[in-house]
Amino acid sequence: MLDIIKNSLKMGMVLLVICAIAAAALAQVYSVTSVIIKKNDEEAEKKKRQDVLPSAARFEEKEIDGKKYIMGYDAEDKMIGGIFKAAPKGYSGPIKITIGVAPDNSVTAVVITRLDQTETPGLGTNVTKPKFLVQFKGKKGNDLKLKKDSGAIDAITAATISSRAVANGVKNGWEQYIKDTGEKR
Amino acid sequence: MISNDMTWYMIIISAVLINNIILIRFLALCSFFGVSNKLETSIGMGMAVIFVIVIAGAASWLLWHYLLLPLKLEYLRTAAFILVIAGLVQFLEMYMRKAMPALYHAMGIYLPLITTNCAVLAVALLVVDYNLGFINTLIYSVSVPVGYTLSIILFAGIRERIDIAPIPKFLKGYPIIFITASMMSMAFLGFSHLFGL
Amino acid sequence: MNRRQVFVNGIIKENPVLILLIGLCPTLAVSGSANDGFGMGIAATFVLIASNILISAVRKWTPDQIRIPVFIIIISTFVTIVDYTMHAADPVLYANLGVFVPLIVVNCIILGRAEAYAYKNDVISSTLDGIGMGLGFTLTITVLGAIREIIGNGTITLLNYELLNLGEGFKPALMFIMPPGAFLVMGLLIALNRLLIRKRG
Repeated sequence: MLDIIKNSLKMGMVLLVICAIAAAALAQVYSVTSVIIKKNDEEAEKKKRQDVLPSAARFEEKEIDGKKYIMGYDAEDKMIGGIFKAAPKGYSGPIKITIGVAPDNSVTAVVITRLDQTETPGLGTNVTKPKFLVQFKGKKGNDLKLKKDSGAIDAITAATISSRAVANGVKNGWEQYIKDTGEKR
Repeated sequence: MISNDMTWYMIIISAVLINNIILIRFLALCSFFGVSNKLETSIGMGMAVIFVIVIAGAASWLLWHYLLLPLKLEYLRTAAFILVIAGLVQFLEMYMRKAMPALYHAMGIYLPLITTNCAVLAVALLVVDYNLGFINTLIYSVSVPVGYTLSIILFAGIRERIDIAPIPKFLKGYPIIFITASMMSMAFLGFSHLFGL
Repeated sequence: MNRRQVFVNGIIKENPVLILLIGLCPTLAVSGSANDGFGMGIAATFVLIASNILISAVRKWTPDQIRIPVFIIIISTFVTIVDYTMHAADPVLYANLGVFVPLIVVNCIILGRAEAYAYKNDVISSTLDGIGMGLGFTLTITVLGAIREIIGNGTITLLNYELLNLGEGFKPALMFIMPPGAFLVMGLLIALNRLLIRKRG
């Protein structure tokens, strides 16, 4: 009887010690890496904002009707554009898009990084390439749709679904942005 | 990709066919190739896996939402989930040995193997990653192993026929089995984007 | 067997993937590109070596009845460390590997070697076994990834560098980076490995 108790206690102690050491090691690793991960995310976000509004010196977040927008101001504090985000459903999942809009309502740039999408490699992933994204620059309204849908954007060969998702996401988000920020002009 | 706004039948179709856990998501492969040489063992394994994954999925969801998240212990997720699964399988084994000895002896060594079945841990992790509600978690946790059972039974049927077919020597055994799985996978790829999912 | 044989064992004669047929899930799922395969191989090898060392070191103090929970705690700790480190160091690889990073904890190779070798042998041999098996695994998954990537995408990437690009004129067979391609190339690789072993005698 005493043997069983002694045995169980020994097993319990070993487990407890190992668990304690493991938990301590994990907490340490977590505290170090979570800082780095957060910093990486913030820098990626900053880069996206700068890429769609290159001449912006400062960004300010705004919420209109429950939707989040980001306004860009240049060095003289003049508003030089706005940024909105879209996340339409692509071929294999949502595609996160960052779009910049100039004061004349034309699109300044569209940015999609490799981490923003999970499309088919070699096909849908080409929505991240500048060759596709640069087409949106300077366009507004129905021009933001695919040529196949009476717009002005060339879809990526054999990746119509991904291209269409991006184009429609940009156009719908643009319409919402114009509507929400229109009155405030 | 399963999301909370999918209806229950969409989740079932997605988990069983479109994103079949073995042929599309590449999980539970070791048991798939190891157990599917006979039809009876495949059915038995399938049943056991359904049982374990449903309980494991539900338990992990509760553990995550009521313990790990509130205490900000997200980084203990992997360790906690796998320990829960190992414990579950252990209890299942002990219970079956007492209450259903015939079934226990039929299952034999397959029960402890379920612990390392990647599908179990994967479902536990995915219901957290997909941010599913509790009911959707249950639906998903049932559908995934049903898809597993479907694939493994189909495969066992084919394997029993391959065993007696004339096959070139260097392809005999596992190579031809993998090639067969490749064709099954191609067939299941045909389900992709069914109903716009 | 002597120390050198322990090491070579894991690469050829007892290659975990091609001969023992364990560790299949990450091998097939992640080998869409040589880069992803290599990353997964390195991550799993790290966990394998680390847990082999630790399990072998504490084997004298670990009662037999609780050895499985102890293995699991040790392995899952290292997996979590690799998880967060990869997320911080290479977010793109981390996103590509997805749920398979935490799934390293149920990788049959690691638990299998812990039970079959590290628990019964000294630290140095266990380390060599871990390195050998890890190397075999990493080599296999990287080669599989390279084959699938070159046929399915026309490129070979490694360590985030594009080593080879067959250019625009090459129309890849997309099937190879999708699930059926994985099973197909795997089946052929097993057959090939078997032929090689038979030829070498």
